[in-house]
Amino acid sequence: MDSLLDQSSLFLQQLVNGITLGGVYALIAVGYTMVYGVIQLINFAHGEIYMLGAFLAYTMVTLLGLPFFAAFILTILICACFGVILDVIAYRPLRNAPRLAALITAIGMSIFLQNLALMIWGSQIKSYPREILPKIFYQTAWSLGEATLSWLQVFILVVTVVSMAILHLIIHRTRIGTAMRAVSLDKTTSALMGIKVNRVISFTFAIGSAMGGMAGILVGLYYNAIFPTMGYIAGIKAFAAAVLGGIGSVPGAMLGGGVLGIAEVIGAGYLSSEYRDGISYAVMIAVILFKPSGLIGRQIGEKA
Amino acid sequence: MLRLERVHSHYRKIEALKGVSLSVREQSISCLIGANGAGKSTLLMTISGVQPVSAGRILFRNELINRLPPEDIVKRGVVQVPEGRRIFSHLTVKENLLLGAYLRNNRNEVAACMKNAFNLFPILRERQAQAGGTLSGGEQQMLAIARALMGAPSLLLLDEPSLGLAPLVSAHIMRIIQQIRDEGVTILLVEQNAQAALELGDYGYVIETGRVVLEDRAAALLKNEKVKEAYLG
Repeated sequence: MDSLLDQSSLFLQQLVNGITLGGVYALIAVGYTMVYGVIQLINFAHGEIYMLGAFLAYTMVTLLGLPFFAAFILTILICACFGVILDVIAYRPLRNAPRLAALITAIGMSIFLQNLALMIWGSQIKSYPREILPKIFYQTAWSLGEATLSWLQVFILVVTVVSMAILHLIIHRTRIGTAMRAVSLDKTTSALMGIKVNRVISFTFAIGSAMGGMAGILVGLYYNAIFPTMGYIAGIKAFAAAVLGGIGSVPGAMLGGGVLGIAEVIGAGYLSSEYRDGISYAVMIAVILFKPSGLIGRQIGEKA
Repeated sequence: MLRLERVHSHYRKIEALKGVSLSVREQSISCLIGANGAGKSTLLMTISGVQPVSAGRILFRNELINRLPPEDIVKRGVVQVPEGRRIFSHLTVKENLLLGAYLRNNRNEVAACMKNAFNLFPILRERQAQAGGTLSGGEQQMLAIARALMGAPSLLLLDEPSLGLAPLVSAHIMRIIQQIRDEGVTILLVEQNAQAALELGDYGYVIETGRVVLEDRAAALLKNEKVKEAYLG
């Protein structure tokens, strides 16, 4: 490595890559944490929505010949609908059932969707054909020493930051956002205020799934690999990010995603790339052992 | 205005309400007194549509409301202040109030309503940017009442508004309830503090293990020997 890059350039390069990856983890983690916030369910099928996002956009640009940005927007909308459908058919009937029942259903939906994707798209790894993507993606936007930032990374970062900002505005400045926070604190009292609790929960799934699907496309672009089980590992890592930040906390998911992405890339760079996935698990286990409420989560045991 | 006819309600197999009939007249304060676990809160939750009715009917202004979802009941002007206040603790006082007006679309009306609430409870104006959970018990009760008023109720259901409050604060809340009634809002008041409730109320019901066992004018119940013995101590 030293012959290719000097030490500081290497570090800078790892940092840039880590932030890019972290942003994507944060996008996925937000979906976990928001759903957990409103119904205390770890939606294990969330990683599959992310995978479907990557495949849907792939099909739209290859089979249907849609321009990339049109496919991008359309996929996000379809993923939002998927999220709502998932909630309505799989989780809503179990709203008053023990939490374990919903959790098992979530795992079931995850397996079902993975295999559905396997049937539709096959097990071959797909990639977005370069010639139909905007050419600028692969050009260097910025370089310092030997560290470079491609326009694709810029695109990923901008999309991540903008969607996080929009999410923040929705949660804190709109009526539905206030209702989401109310429902996450107390469903019965929310109903007494006239809030349609089920509709708010579905809306939460829609937002989370839209961001998850978006992350799927971004990762598909970044790693150039789309396959039916891609949601599994990404899902677990995003879940680790959500736990790290404090499950149920949206700023926590953002922070957790960023920290995990950087830790993973730098760890892989300086230790060994084989430790890549292990780092996420180690982080998750450490958080559960030493600070179960996460970096900025609510205190465990507090009556919400 | 509100009429319950032989209302039954179950929590799984346990029958919490065993055929409750009562009626609330317009512009009155009706009290529901009884011991812990008698079914008072369940009764309010069935009226609000949160707890399902398994048999019987609930009529509001002569319309059947017991199959309506909670939001439609709120829309008709039946609003509840739940037991234990149930403030959204992480939300600000102002956000709590705005949630009370969740179904109202006219911003000017909502703003005017908030002004009224602040006039009724000036402390809330000072605290409007604070998280609801940081308020004292009495202030939280005021916020809970103000939040319900934001829904422009014609019938206000109050569940144990004096619970856990110092006597002076509790007396203040009772005066406010009277003031709300004088402004034209009908009130159904559930209270363990039977003395205070009956002194304030026009009519009273005594509820025991899911049944109404006694009803009369509030003044008469205050003098009733059985009530004195069991609830007034």
